[in-house]
Amino acid sequence: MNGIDRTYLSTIFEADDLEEIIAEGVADICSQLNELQRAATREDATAVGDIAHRIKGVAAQLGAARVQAAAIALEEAARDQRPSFGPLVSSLGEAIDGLCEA
Amino acid sequence: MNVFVIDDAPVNVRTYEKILSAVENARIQTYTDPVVALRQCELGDPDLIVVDYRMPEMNGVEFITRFRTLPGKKEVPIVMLTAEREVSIRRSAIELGANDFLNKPADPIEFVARVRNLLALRDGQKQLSRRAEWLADEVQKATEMIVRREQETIHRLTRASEFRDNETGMHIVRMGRYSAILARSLGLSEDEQHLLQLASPMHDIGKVATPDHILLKRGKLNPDEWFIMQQHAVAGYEILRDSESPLLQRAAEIAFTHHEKWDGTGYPRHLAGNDIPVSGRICAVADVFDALTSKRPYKPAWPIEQALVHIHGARGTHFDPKVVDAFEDVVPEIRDVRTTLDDRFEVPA
Repeated sequence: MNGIDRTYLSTIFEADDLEEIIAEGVADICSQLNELQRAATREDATAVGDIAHRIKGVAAQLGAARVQAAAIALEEAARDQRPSFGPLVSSLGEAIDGLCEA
Repeated sequence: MNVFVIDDAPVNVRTYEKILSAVENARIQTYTDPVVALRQCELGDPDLIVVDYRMPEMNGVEFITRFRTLPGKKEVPIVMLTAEREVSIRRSAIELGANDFLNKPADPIEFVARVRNLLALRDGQKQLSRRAEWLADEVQKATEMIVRREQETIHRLTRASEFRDNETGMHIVRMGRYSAILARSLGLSEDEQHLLQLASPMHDIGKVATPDHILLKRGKLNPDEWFIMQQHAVAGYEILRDSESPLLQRAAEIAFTHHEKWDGTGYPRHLAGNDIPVSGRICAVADVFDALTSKRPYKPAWPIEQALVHIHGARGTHFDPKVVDAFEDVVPEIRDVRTTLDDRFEVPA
């Protein structure tokens, strides 16, 4: 899969388990995307922040740096209650799409 | 040892489980729902908690707060995993009982080392706790043995003194029972009831100082003999006084005052009313009742009913009215003691 740095997880898992855990993590992140978009549509900053945090944590674990960076930016915006975090949701969505499609 | 890992992301939980599989003797239990985890903590016996900070429904700080209120969980070590760098979050977590932090994603070597160290700490806590329990248990056993031996020694010495003018040791056993029953009926504490049960049998220990020709005289004592006889209360006090033992202190008080009378006509100090310690007022009733209902060389045993009439008649003169009232409230128990602990049935020491 593209966008994933296996350095961290490969110190923990054997090759077979490594691919399985990455697939599981990617599926987890992808499954959060719909929920994130719904929260953004209803402008629920708290929910957006929580989901971004969850995505950030899993992305950090997977070594998905682009997703992690986009999630951090969105989480901070949501926590700060900035008026418009729509572009940041889009940016994170694109990063996740890249991961899910890979 | 049981390590509970709580993180809402399954991939994280699986990663931590794999990392911690390197820790010897650690049974890893993982949870993605902190509410379920807390319930399992209550039911189970975690030795270490590894908890994520930000989770839906309950964050890590809330989890720690609630965990610490569970019985027996105050000292279980907790590691918080967090991507948060905020000092305020870490301060809250520490104040509420977290022992350590790890940044996410957790470095496997650091993670394993921390968990090993905290499990060693927990093992030390448990060993110390078991040792403390064992020591407390041993101290209690030793204390109980000392108390039993003290009581046995007192009982045997008291019996020795009673043997001079009583055929059996049952009088002192009954005295103890009567006194405890009366103390309870008067509303005295359980400790005081127990103390009186053990102390009252020593009431006549001063008779060891009374010459045989007076103590065992069948006829009426002349005034000089009567004066010497009365001195047994003083001798008992002298024998028992100034002890550090609360039991012997109470016994000294009883020995000195159990022949005083409510109206001030008793001996040896002619105390009256509430100047007579309650222990002495209780033992006065118990001693007279037992003497009346016991056979003596100079008289037969009175029937219990006749003794009850005598006690009632001396209410407010010889005896404290309140003690007589308390006595009359528990006559069935008194009667039961008199019947089951009759002089015909010698009891072992």
